[in-house]
Amino acid sequence: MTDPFKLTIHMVSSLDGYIAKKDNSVSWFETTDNYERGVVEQDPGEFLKKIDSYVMGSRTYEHAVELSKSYGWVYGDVPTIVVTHRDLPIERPNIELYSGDLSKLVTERLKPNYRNVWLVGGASLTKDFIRLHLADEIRQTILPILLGSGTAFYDQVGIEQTLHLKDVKAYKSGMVELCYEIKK
Amino acid sequence: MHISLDGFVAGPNGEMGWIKVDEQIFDHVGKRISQTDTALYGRVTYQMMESYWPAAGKKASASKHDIEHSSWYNKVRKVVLSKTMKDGLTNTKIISDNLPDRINEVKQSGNSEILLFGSPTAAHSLIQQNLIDGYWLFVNPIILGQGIPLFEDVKEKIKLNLLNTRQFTSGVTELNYTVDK
Repeated sequence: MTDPFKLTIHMVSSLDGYIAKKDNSVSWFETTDNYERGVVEQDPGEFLKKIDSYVMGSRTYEHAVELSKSYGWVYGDVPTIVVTHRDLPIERPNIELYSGDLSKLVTERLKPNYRNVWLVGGASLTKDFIRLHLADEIRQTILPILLGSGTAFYDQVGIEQTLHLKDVKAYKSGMVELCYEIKK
Repeated sequence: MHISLDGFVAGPNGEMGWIKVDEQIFDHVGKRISQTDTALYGRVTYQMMESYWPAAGKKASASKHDIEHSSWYNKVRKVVLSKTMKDGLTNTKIISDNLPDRINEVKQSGNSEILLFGSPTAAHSLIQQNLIDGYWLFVNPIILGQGIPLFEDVKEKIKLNLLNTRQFTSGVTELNYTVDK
């Protein structure tokens, strides 16, 4: 039996909802918190293997390319679709650019080819997917920090959306992962 | 504080109908606040509380929670942040200026933690002046899309330590942090 198609919005944010600092630095991801009762971070390998496609906005892509110079390309060989109107340089064979209607992206491009798609940013693409009811799940990892400023994950989504809590995991690093189904 | 997943404490016009509270959450909250001798409010929230809780336990229709909370509310020392209200109310202290010193006096004069209830405007001032020692949040399973945010104009990075989390059957998640000072 094949799993039904699922599009998951995934984001790591501060408690005040920021996903990036103004200068795009990532050092704040390193927490110094130690939560005794937390579970140990699993080897993400097995979990990430189930993701068969990534979708991201152009600035998230450019940021990932920039980071890849120091840390490597984090999305591996998984097919990655960058939603953009710009003609961005493509540095890897598994990356394609998409411009146009997001509903068609999901029904014509993603659904026939993939089962477990992760939308990994940024804020404006996330907002579009929520507003158009194109996402099935939100998986938000909250770091134990208040940043005060930066790029907000939920950029005034504008519509009210009811969620169903599926799972909560607290990690030893003080990170809390909240997983919600988006009610349609 | 009850918040939506996108970090709002109320809708744009103060709407709070989306907040999920049930017996399970009332009981859980009740345990902690019964240990608390000082409650902090902004003026608007205080006036809302004052118009309901003093008599809520005496109504014929009062639930177990109404009776317990009403009795706690009448007993607890209340501190209100307001520029317009005047001192003189029973068991109630008004803070209208010099927030850091006044809050520290309150902290030293009590025997328990001080809990701030709702009161987003008061929360913003206290957060901005680094007077908050912990966050006790109930994340509701909803994206509100717009409203009054809990965190506003936080001046600099604040590190937190996770104390515990808890899931409620209503889909609400409790997140409990202390501020790393």
